[in-house]
Amino acid sequence: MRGGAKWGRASAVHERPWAVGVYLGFAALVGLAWSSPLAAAVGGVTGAYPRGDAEVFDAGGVMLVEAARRMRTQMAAIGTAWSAITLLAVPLGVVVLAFAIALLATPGRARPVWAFARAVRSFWTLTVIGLVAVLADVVLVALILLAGGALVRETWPVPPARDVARFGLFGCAILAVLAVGVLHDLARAATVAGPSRAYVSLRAALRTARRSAGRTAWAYTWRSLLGLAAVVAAAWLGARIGHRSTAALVASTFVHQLGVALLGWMRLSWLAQAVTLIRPSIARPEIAPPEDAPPERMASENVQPSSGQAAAAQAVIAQPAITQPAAETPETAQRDGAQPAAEAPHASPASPHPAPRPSNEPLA
Amino acid sequence: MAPSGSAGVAPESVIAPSGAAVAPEEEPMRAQSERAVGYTLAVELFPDTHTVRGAGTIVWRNTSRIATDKLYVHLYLNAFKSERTVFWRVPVSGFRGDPLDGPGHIDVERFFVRELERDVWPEKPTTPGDADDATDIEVPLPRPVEPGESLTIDMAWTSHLPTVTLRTGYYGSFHLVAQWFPKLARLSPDGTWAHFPFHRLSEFYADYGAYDVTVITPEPFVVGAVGSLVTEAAADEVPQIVDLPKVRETSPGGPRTRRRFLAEDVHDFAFTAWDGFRALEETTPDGVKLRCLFPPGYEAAARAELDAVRFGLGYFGRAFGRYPYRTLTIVHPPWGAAEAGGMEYPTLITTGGTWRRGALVETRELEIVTLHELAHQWFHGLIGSDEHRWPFLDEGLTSYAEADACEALWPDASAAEGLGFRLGLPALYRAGALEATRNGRVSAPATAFVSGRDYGALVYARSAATLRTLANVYGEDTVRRAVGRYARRYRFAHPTPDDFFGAMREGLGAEAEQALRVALTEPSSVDYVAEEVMSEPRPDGAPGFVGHALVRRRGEIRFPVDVLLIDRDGGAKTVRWDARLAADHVAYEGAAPLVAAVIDPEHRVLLDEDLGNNAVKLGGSRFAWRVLDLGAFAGGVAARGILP
Repeated sequence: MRGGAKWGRASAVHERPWAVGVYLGFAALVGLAWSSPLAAAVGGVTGAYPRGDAEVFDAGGVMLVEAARRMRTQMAAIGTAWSAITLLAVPLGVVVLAFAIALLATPGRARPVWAFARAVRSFWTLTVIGLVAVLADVVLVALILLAGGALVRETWPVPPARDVARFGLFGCAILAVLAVGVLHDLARAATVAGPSRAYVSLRAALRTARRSAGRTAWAYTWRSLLGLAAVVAAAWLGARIGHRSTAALVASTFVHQLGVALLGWMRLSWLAQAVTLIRPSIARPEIAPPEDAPPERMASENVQPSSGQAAAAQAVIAQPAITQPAAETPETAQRDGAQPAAEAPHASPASPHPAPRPSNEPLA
Repeated sequence: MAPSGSAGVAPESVIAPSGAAVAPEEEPMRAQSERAVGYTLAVELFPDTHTVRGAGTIVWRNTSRIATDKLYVHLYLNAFKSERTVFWRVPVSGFRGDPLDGPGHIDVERFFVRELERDVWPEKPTTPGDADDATDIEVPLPRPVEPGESLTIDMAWTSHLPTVTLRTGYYGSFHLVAQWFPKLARLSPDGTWAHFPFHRLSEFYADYGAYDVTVITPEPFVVGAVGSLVTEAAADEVPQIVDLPKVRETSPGGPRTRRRFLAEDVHDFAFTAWDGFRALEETTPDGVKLRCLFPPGYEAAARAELDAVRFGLGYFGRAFGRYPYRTLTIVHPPWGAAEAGGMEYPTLITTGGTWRRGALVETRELEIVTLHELAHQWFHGLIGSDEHRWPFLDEGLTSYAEADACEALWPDASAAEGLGFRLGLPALYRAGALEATRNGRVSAPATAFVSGRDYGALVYARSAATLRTLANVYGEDTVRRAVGRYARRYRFAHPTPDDFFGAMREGLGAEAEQALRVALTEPSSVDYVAEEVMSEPRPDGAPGFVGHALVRRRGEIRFPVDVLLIDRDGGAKTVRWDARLAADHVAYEGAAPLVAAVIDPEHRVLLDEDLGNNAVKLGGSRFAWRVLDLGAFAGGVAARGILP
């Protein structure tokens, strides 16, 4: 059976130019900021050469090693600059990410100013969730590496078996970090698209992961692999283009930034899907659907929730709703309660939050 | 980098048995050594107690011009007896050598000189003047031994091996039995003994001779040793070469294997035994039997090492004279015994390194270590310089030869390759050399270096970087021929630094030899600086511009260099500067104003202290845009992982 709540799906990435622009622009800016101290330091070694830093990339690596040698004394300063940039970029990144999620979570039209306000309002909750995720990462990785390391030492004490086992162990640690990352993203989506409380968002994320583990993993994995492929392709193509001339430099930069952009696009696509996946597990549509959203499309993209989903939804239904301003969607508040039942005739009357469509998932 | 005037080396993408094209030398070589000493030994390894019990005979001849009334015997294994020995108490940071878990020492039980009819071993055998060290033993003789006279010494001893550290010892059931028997020091032609207590940074020095060594081990043990295996049988089936009464008394039960090894014209003997070894064997086109012993799972590493050795025998053989022995054993120690790796003995080398290859960046560490140790077959193996007194004559020349061979195999990428970068060993040796530019003399004795870092930077890296600089400036083949002349002339001899510099002078000329001598025998440096460029319209009113680049050479070392002059329209011309003056004007004349100058644009002078000041230009960006591109790319990707 299929439900028909308008707010069931997130918007597609290409429908959210502000989200794309701000999110990708921010990543590019941070990359540039991180790179600048290094580029300035290398320029200090190679700047007087007519070929500039092309010397660094010459076969043999004499100038590469020379630049590294000369920069050793500057590494403290460069490290300080990197730390400062990172300290600034992390909280800003929280807002930028929340901004993008807010836009993606809103069907139909969405005003960037409203999304920004929503992002700012979610900041502290997202920060708390972020700290929880970091803590989980640390604990999981430590457990895997320490316990697994002891097992490897005991079972396979010498290479090559030991090294192979260690690779496996690192693989497990990476998988654990990725899994935490997926949960983290779901919780972020829940925070921005639903009630802005850390505990509720984390619970919703866990519930979603438990109930839709396969779909969640698939949605994350194929997008991540596509993003990774884009980066690898950009690196390979960039290396092929080289840096021999100004034109080549421009082309290489374009290819590299395109790779970074595609990676970011895939991440936005995943976040949009995370919003869609998390919705059945949050109390109510915190971000209301606009009035001009096409009902036919919405109806085809939702299914009736299971009884468990319904119960879960009931459990958190008391959370306060935050909706887009009335000026934007004047009828939202009135329709919020009645709409699911009215527009989703097959949905369970016990649940206003039907689950998304399980298959034929389009690229957001 | 392809230096001017270099015949160069045919680039090869794969290791080929024939090696690269190195022109043959006409310098005559000795067919054999003077064989001043002969060791006939029979030993048994007891793996459970990590002891080696041995007995045998040394036949020694006074090859000097002077009668001597004493002998000096090195008991290197006593270096591991306690923390009070010279080896451990001299503070040497930054050098290999794991702390001892289990000590080692050697007990000499018999040292009977037949001609003198008495056991001459001293009652308290210690290093002269040092009660805590017993690695350098003076053995007084009751009467002088005349020049040309021989002594026959019957001896018996027990070697207690330490846990593996700096080339010798055991790890589990793996044993590298090296520096393990009473070994006579070398008596120089002038009648002085070249003897020394075993120092952490020092290696060894001895007479060439013949070794006939029978090694008995438990049956499952695989053994690799210096020389050629002539017999292998169950221990009871072959008559003993010498009597081993104590061995017989203490041997545990169980089948044992007896192997007899013969080696001539060598100056040391070592063997390894392990019941876990795997073996790969092959024979080179020249008939040298190669045998690689390695741990299970390291087949790929063993094959890479065999490939490197096959290439190296050809390459070094052409450059420095044919490898004269019939065998070469390559030992890749097991995990945990890395301290046994990276060492050379005549016809036996130990390597080391990982079993796997890098995925993104391919490094050559296996081949580099293998080729380094193989090059030692010439520099110290065949050219028996005093490693204690002039370590650069073996380690320095070996590092040069290793880098030369690796560059022939992987031009400009002899250290690593990947992620769009190609890193050559010369660049790394340059960086290493500049770490210790004025910290001391390269040609100093091993004991003169205050740290392992200085020793490594000066003896290994600076020697290699200096010779590579000569090759870049005067031609790779020219320098290879000059080193080859030295190697051939002093085969089976004991040359000094003057012998080396003399051969280099003959091959390269006085100017190059002077630069080499200053770089290696003095705390010295060189730094080329491009200070300014200027030009103006021709004063005679003719079209075009005249001007100059102001260039400087700072430091004591002088190499002629190219100066690249670039005009505003992108035109370039190269001018040779002999660098005789500390500062000079390099004249410019061209159609457009001069806007930039670069000294040594191909970075041939690896000893140049600062390459950042080799160029000067008027205007233009000094920002590293390419680095910015790559950094922004990496940063953008990392942002996905690091940022929310």
